[in-house]
Amino acid sequence: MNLDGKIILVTGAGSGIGAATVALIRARGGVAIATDLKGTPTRLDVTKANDWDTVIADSVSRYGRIDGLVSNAGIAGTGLLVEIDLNEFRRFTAVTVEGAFLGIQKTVAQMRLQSSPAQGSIVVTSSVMATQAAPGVASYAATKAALSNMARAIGIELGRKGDFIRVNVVAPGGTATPMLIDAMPPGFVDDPASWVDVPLREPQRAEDIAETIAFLLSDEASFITSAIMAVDGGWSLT
Amino acid sequence: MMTAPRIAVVTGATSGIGRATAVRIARDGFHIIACGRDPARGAATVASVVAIGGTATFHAFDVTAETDWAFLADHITADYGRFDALINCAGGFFSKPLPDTSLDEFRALWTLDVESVLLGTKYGLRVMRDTHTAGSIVNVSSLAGLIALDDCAAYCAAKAAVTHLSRVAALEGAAFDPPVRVNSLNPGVIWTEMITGSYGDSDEVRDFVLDGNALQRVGEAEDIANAAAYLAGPASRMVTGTAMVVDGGRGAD
Repeated sequence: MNLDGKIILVTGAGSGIGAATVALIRARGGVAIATDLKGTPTRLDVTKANDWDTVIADSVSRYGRIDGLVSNAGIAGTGLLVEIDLNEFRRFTAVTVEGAFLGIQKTVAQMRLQSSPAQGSIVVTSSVMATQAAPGVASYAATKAALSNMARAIGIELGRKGDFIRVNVVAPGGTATPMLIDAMPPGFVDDPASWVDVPLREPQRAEDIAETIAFLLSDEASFITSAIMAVDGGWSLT
Repeated sequence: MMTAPRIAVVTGATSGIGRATAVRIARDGFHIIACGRDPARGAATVASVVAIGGTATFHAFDVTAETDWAFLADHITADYGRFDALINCAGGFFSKPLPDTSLDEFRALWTLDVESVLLGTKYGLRVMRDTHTAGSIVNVSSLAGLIALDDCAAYCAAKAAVTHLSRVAALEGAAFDPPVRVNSLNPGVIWTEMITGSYGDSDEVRDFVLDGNALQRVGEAEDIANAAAYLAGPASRMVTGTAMVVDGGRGAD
């Protein structure tokens, strides 16, 4: 599963799954361009087309090309549907759906400049909530579902147009990241009682999700596109 | 301290996906117990594993015979005391319109594709549970277990059974201490003897296979072997009960 010499742009890389993915890409011999809204180390607001143009241009001038994108930036939050403010719903849409839309569109355009047929691997971080239901997650679940199937549709579209750009989805269950810890009541993530309904009875670590992302980025997954890979300890089984 | 080598059983290891999987996961450090019917072809698989620096033994084996599985389980328990991975690759295929399919034909395929996996998963879970191994079982199903294919009612039904049986086994294995993971691996059309044996090895067949994929290439046994290695090893530590599709995008549209 080596990533020798691959140039991979990662969004939401400031913490959690994004940070673990950056570390694993580098450990496997790849170059990770780590971006985050908070600007560590490279600032990228995924909802801003201009930000994407700047980051891609800077990356190409520095490394010559982009081989992969991990569209990972996301937001969390809970709220009962009848109480959700439309602007809050739109914030989820902007980051989760439009952010990935812009990133994939801009990255594919760059990959098409680099070779013919174009080559590359794109992975989006969705969620078990794209297919499972729970109270209080309407905004999160709806936008993750949109993200998952948008990515699958793009994968088919690119393949049929003769590109060799693969697009896949990783769907984590509950993962012990700062995003989840901040979204849940104090102590929730570390409490074994929180996970008794998950078959493997523990949350994922960010590193577990990074392993699956790294597999999908690697040439070992070169026949995998438009797939959804659950990493959820069996959550979605029942 | 010497660390005991990880032990993997691969069925259907005398050809196609099974042979490629045996060689691929041997690279990850597993000792391979290669199972199949034909000793000459089994010896070739063992030689392929040894050629890349791995170790393997061949067991002449009928995956549909419970006595063979019981014997293998006893052997693994007694000789190794651990059982880290079982990859059930053995299976068969035929294509025929449903109105022309006999009950005998259906039952023969069901025995080869479903009962073999039922037995393998049963004995795999048992030995992993009793030896307290955090093992992984990978049941090679098919995209045909998830979507419908013309003239393949028996095969589609059998592979759907394999896929869903694996999900139930995942629930049961998750309760063990330590947990055992079970996943199905659902390949699209892969260029192996199972395909060329049924449809022939012509450019026309290859073009037909290509045309159904979004990615403009044919799937190879090595693609599935790579996925099996991912599911068998620690990279998928928290992955259980999934149906992993490796199909070049064939089934998504």
